[in-house]
Order: sequence, then structure tokens, then C-alpha cells
Amino acid sequence: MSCFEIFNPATVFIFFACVIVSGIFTMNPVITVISLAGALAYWFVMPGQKNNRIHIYTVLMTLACMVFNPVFGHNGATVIVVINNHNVTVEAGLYGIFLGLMLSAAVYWFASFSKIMTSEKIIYILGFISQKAALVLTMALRFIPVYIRKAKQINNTQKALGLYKDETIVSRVRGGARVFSILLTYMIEKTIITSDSMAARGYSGRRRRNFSLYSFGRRDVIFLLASLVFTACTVYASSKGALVYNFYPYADTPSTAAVALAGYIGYGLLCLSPSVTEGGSRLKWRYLKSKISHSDIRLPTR
Amino acid sequence: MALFEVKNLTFGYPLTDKIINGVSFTVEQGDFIAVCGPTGSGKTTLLRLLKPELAPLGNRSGEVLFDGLNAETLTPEKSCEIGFVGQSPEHQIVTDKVWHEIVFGMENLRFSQNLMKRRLAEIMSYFGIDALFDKNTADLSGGQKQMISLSSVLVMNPKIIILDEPTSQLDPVSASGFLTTLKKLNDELGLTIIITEHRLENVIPLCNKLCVIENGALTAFGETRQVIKEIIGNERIAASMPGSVRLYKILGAKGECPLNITEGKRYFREHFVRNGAPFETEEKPTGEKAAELKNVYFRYDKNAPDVLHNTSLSVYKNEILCVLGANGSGKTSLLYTIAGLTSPYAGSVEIFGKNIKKYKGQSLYSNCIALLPQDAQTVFLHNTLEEEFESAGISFGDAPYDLSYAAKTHPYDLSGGEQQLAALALVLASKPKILLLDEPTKGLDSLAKQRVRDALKTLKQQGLTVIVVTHDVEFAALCADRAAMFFRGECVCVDTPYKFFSENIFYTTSTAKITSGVCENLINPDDVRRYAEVK
Repeated sequence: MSCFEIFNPATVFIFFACVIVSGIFTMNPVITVISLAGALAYWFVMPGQKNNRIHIYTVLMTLACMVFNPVFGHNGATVIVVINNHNVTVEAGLYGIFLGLMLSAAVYWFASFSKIMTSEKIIYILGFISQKAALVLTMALRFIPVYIRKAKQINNTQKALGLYKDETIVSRVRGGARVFSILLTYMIEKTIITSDSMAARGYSGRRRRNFSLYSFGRRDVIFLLASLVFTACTVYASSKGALVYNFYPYADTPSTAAVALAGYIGYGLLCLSPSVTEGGSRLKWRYLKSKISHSDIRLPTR
Repeated sequence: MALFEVKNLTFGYPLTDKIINGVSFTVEQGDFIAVCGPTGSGKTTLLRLLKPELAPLGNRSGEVLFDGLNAETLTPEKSCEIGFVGQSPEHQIVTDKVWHEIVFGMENLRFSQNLMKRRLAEIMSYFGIDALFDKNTADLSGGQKQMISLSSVLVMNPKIIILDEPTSQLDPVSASGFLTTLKKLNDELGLTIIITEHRLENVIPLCNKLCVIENGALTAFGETRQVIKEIIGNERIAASMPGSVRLYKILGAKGECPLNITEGKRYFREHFVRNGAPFETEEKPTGEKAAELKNVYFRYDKNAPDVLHNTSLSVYKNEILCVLGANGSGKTSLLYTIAGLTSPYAGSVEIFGKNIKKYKGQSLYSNCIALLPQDAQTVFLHNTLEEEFESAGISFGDAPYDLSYAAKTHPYDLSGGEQQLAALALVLASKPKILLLDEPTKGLDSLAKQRVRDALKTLKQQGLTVIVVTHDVEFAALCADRAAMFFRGECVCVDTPYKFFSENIFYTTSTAKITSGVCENLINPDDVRRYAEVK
């Protein structure tokens, strides 16, 4: 289980929002590299089943950006070759790599985010913004599997009724349309039952009080405060212009001014915090486990 | 003070006659009331009139008092003291997670977080369903869904629960489990319960009062045994009563009416004298085989367990074969395999001596096999029954029963029994030789079941072979030529009905349960009528 399970979903949501938004909007290669490193670190530390095909996608995406940006963008001073009167420049290539890495970092962060934020957590967060939207989402998640099952049943019935006269495409499309039409009638019919069931349990469109499985504790306060302070460093550096970086006409050397360093370090700590928390909790478990195995557990005797 | 006081309640929809006509009764705290009556008698309308949010709109007169207050103008909080559970397990569930469904009502009433948490814990521990907490509601069985619906009403601390055919969509095991839970609530918490049910077999022994409704009017209301005495002469109502009550009627309706199997056995022993010739021996059908399965294996997924496991079964031409068995025993898969909708990974299926794989394209479905699925609604395509029949190329005269009175009705507005018969007529349009039916009596009342039974017998006379998958032992005992029992994907036994049901101990009709030990080979009330001499 991820250590993020013990945080309130709101904390998790705000953390990911800080990381992803500030990572994308600073447009600074150092920040991008830090973001990618942090995202990758957490991806590997995160427990549970992971789809490792994601690496293929990100590498391909970065390569594609590197190749296609110089093809379509012709800014930059260092020309490698001229094709059809168009300059292919080093800077455009660098910008492509930067873009690819930035997108890759976002992909990793989003992948971790979606693994941690299950549907109930999303609904919980959405409940703060709009109760109605949260309710609609949970109802949609409820009815999608029901209707898929129903569509299959209808299809089987129609098949056994001999309504698919032959195996041509036209016949199949007609069959599909028939299934859809029956499904629609069925849905409209059954929605009445659902709305009755809601009304019978006091639903009247008044304001509700959302039940929450989650508490907001000291841990959340600490993690949230830390995240906000680190983000503030980055935002401050960015507002002072220390993180401005130009690829064209010549690629800049990243700024090493004190303000810029503060920004890098703040963002670095922000990106590393999930891996550190996860690693820390693992060490703690190892320690607790060793204590359990060494302690002599005796059942109380009567 | 009475919990509900219904005074001279009359109700009709704007364009129809009166559906409820001058009904008066009182419900006392702690009552367990079963409401019975034929389909269309106004049971559901009456129950909905008791719950303000669900009360239909129309011309209404008379008075309904809940706890001394006018039931039409209750506050939402007060109204939630009247709990309501309907019949569709699938569609009365609103949210995707079990815990969310249970707190849904409390969220609407704005309970505090702590109270919600506490009630959630209480109810899940009380029913022992805490393992379902994180489950998706879509993954639950029908019985579990109804338990969740009941829980989600109970957490609002209702004084009374109204249930409209809560078990009609459930298999017998889940149904009796659900009803036992209601009895437990009634006994342990003093919860008042009003329930309508087709399966009176299970409800009559539990309830303390019975309410009989016919054509919108109250025929009888009062203590169960008393009411049964009053209505025992009424053929239509008596036919829907449990086996013990029907035997009581056949044996002359003297003395106290037995309400359950134990009482029924005692009553039968005392009042039955055998009279009549020995039973004719039943002939096992022989001759040409309509369908034959040889060592069939089927599973849904490579890693899933077998659903059909070494199944062998012969179905003879022109017989009605009823396949019985528990949920998940492979009954429906058997039907789908014979219908060619699923293909086995081993073994062979032969239809009229020809391997099912050799039926190319649609040839299996024209003039050969037809399947009527469990949900008859999946058959309907049009807005009226007339259009439905027209597009299938049949007329109302073709069906072995009359439906022409409902020609202009939307198929969804027909009663459950009429839907089943209409769907059957449409399925028969392809002039099949083998008819496959999946649970044709689910949710039907006794009269509708009889119509289905008559239809099947007529079809048999016309030369069809019929395979019925059902949970309904009483139905099977009345119409089968042979009955088969399925267990763990295998056909465990096939026999003629008298042999099958009188040799079974647990899985048999209530008549067979009552009469066993006194007189063998009685499986239907009609058998008793034929061979009994009334003392």
C-alpha cells in the first residue's frame, strides 16, 4: 500500500497540482530535469502493480519531439543543415528534447496520480467543488457496467431470435442500431426506478452532507505545509524572473543566481518528498517487523 | 396509537377508473403484514400511497395518517421514518460503492459525520456484510444487492418498512434468506413491516396479519389464520396460497389452518385417507433425440473454473424438460450452449443428430431453435405490441393464447406475465422446433404462471420440444415430462417428475414435503385432490 493512502485525498490532490502545474509553467530545463527525476524516483518507489510499458511511450515521445520540432520550427542560430530553404538548428532540437522531457515528467506524475486517486477519492475531491457533479460521477460509474452487461444480453437475444439475417456489415450495423435502441428504452424506463429510490431516501435536490471516509490529520498538515512552502520558493524565484530561460537564438546557460538556486532547491525538495515519505515509511516497517518477530508474543492465560 | 391509519382511501389516475376504492385499515407498531392479491389489483399503488415521495399523482380522497400526522405533508425527515424497498435489485441502487450506497440516505438528511460512520458500522456488523464495504455495487449478486438496499433504508432509523415484492427477482435461496432477515428485524427490533409478495410460501409463516386486496378494494384484513378462513372459498386467492393452505382447502378446511410445512404434515396425517387406484406408471420418453450433449465442457475464461463440466444430456423430441438447480450450477450456460451462443471447449452438441457447428450462418435460428432469455424485455423493439407482432410477421391469432386486448399497449407497460407471453409469441415467430426458456416464471403470480404452463402444454401438442431452466419446483412438477437436476456444471439426475420429486428430500415441492411419509407420489395439490377421500 502506498504511503499516500494515509493522506487525505485533498492533500494528495494539492501536492500533485503543485508539482505538475509549476513544472509545466516555469519552462525551465533545470526544473524539468528535477521534475522528471522526482517523478521517475517515485514511480520506482511506489508499491503495487505498475505498467512498465510507460517507459517505451515516454522515450518514443521524447524522440518524436526531438525530431519533429526542428522539422517544423526553424528558429535558432546554429544551423546544422538546410533542407528546402529551411534551417534545421541545434536550438530547435534542444527545445524538442526539453519539450519531450517535460511531457514525460507530466506523464509519470499523472500515472502515479491515477494509481493513487481511486474513483472514490476523485468523487470526494469533486464533492468540494460540486456536490451534484460528484453524485453524477458516482452514478455514472455505477451504471456503466450495468448497461454494458445489458447490451450484451440484448445482443444475444437478438442473435437467438435470428434477427441477424446474414453476416454482412449492413446486417451487423442494423443489429447494433437495434441493440442501442432497445438499450435506450430500457435505460429511460429504469431511470424512473432509480429516481424513486433516491426520493424514497430523502433526496430532493437540497444540499447534502457528503460522508467522508477520510480524516484530515497532523500528517496532512505537515505534508501540505511543506509542499506549499517548497512551491512558494519556486513561485518566488519564477516571479523574480530568475527561472526565465531562452532557447532562441542561442540556448542560455541556466541561471545560478541565489534566487534561482532557491527555486531549484525548493522544487527539488517538492519533487522528492513523495519518494522520501515512501522510503521512510518502508524503513519504519522494516524496523517494526523486526520488533514483531523478536518479541515474545504470549496469549493471556485465564 | 396506531402507526398508520388509512381511512376510506380512494385513488384513481386522471384518465382511469378508481384503482384504490375506499380502503381503510390500521397498522399497529410491530405488525408484520403481508399484502396479497392478484396482479393489477392495486397492491403497489396502495403501498406507494403510504409513502409521500412515491405517491402517484391523481384523484385522491380519504386520509392517510402516519404517527397521527397527515402523510401527504410530512417533512423529509419524518418521511424517512417510512422506509421503502422496491423489487428491482439492479435499479434501486444509486452509487458505485457499497458503503456509499448505505450512507446515501443519511447524506440527504445531513446526518453528522460521526453518526453516519457509526450507523454504517452498526448495520454492516449486524448483517455481517462488512466484507462488502469496498465492493462495487455492480459486482454483487441479486440477494446482496437487496440486502444493501434494505441496509441503506434501515440506517435512517425507520419506524416502518414497506417492501414491494422485494424477492421477486431473486432465486429461492436468496429470497428466503432475505425474508428471514425481515423476520429477524421484526422480532429483534420491533420493526413494523408491510410487504407484498408473490411467493406467499415463504411469507405466510412469518407474518402476523394478512391483507387481501381485489380490484382495489379490501377483501379481508386481520390475523393471518382468520383471514385465510375468510378467503379460503375464493378460488383465485386460494390458488396463490402456500402448499399447506391449499392442502387444507382440499382436505375440507376443517379446524385450524396449517401455515407451514410442519403444521401441514400434522394436518395431512390426521385428515388424509387414501382413496383411488394405484398410480399409473409414467413413461420415460424415448425415440428420436432433439438435442444431445456429450461430455461437454465450457468455461468463460481460460483461467476461470468450468461452468459446464462433463455434461451429458439427451433431450427427446416433443418433451418438456425442466432443468433445476442452484444459482451458478450451469443451467443458463447449458441453455446458451444448446442455443449455440456459447461454444464448449470440449465435447459435442448435436441438434437433431447434426453437430451444432455444421449449422452455418443463421440456419440454427430459422425453423430450428429459439431462446427466450430471462429478461423478456430484451426482445421488444417497438412502441406497441401490434407493431411488435407486425414486424415479426405474425398475427395475434398465431399465439396459443390471446393478447389482442393489449395490441395498443407499450410492451413495457404490460404486466410481468403478459410480457413473458408476448415475448414468447415473438420468439415463436421463427417457427422453432426446439424452444429454450430461461426462468419463464420469475416474478410472476400464480395466475400468470398457469398461463405460461398452459402455453407450454399447447406448444408441446403442436410438436415442439421445450427445455425450461427454472428455480420454480412447483412449476416444474406441474408441467415437466422429465426434470433434471444440475450441480456444479453437471447433470446429476434426470427423471420423470413423480419419481424425481418424490425421491428428492430437500429439493422438491411443498406438497411432496408435506405428504412424504404418509403417502408417496403426491407432488401437486391436484394429486391429493384426486386420491384423497375427505374424512
